[in-house]
Amino acid sequence: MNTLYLTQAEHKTFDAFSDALKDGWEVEAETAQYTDTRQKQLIRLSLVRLHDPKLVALRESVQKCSTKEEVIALLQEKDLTDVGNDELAELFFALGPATLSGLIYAVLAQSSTDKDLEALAALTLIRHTMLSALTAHAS
Amino acid sequence: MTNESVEIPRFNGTETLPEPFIPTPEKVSGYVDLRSDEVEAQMKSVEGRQGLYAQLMERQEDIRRDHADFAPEGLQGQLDDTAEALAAHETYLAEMNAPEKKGMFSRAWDSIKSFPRKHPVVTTLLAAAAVAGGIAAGFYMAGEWELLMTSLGLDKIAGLAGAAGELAPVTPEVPPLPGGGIYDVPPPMPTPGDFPHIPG
Repeated sequence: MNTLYLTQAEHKTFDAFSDALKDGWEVEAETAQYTDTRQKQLIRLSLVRLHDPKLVALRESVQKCSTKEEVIALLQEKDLTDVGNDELAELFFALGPATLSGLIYAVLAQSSTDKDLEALAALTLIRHTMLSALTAHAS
Repeated sequence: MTNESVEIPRFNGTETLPEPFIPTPEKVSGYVDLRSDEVEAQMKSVEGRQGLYAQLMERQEDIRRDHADFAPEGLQGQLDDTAEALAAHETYLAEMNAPEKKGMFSRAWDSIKSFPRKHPVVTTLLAAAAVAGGIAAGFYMAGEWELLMTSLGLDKIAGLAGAAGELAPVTPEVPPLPGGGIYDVPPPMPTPGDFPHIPG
């Protein structure tokens, strides 16, 4: 997995990296155009079906919170390393391509190692797959 | 399910709010004489959605009683968007689980799970989606999604910044300044948008 699916603007940011950092990475243009809306995002969020006990427990814990600070603390403490891949895929889909692009921007802006670019490649692959699916079915 | 007020937790305590209307198959099933899997199947065709629309419109008084925000003029669009999301979701998961791509995606997930310390924003966003998503809690948290994202300092990342270009990645002339928020996310800068966006 050494391919980054980047938009034109992201590609420019990547081009500014050192040659050593860029070495071994291939860039493919992310050209899909999809306009997300608040309604579409809320629908995707509402369609999420979670089965992982850890995530179900997290949701139950949040519902017991009485303050914003408690909710934030719970979310920030969460470790998702042992959550199943399918569940993670569900969550990314619910967030949608625009939020994912925001994440990609944040990771791209802080990338300084090959490990960072591996994470970036993973995020762009997920976005690419999501955009392909969404544009294929766009009404 | 359809005639109950729902106890909804709020950030500042607990109060009862009306449940917003989002036409998931489970929700629609509560108003038409179909199981949720039958609703989902019917949503796949234009004719099917027109049929659901007609049946839901016959129940609009009941729906409005349960969901104060129900807007008949927006129902057809909501059904179309739900159908789009369901179909895209199916395609998306099928692509990820295709035998020839499973290894590649497995490595992608491993990579994402390995960097939460440096990029906690990813984990936090996913956790937020987990508590916001689904029919059990989603009706509340989805409605409060913007507030949640703003409280977490993730409103710009979550696409709530407004104009399309605001979130577009940029070519920094200088390294991004630290301290852009609790996750050190540098603030997005306006640039011609070339990626999907959420209109404000």
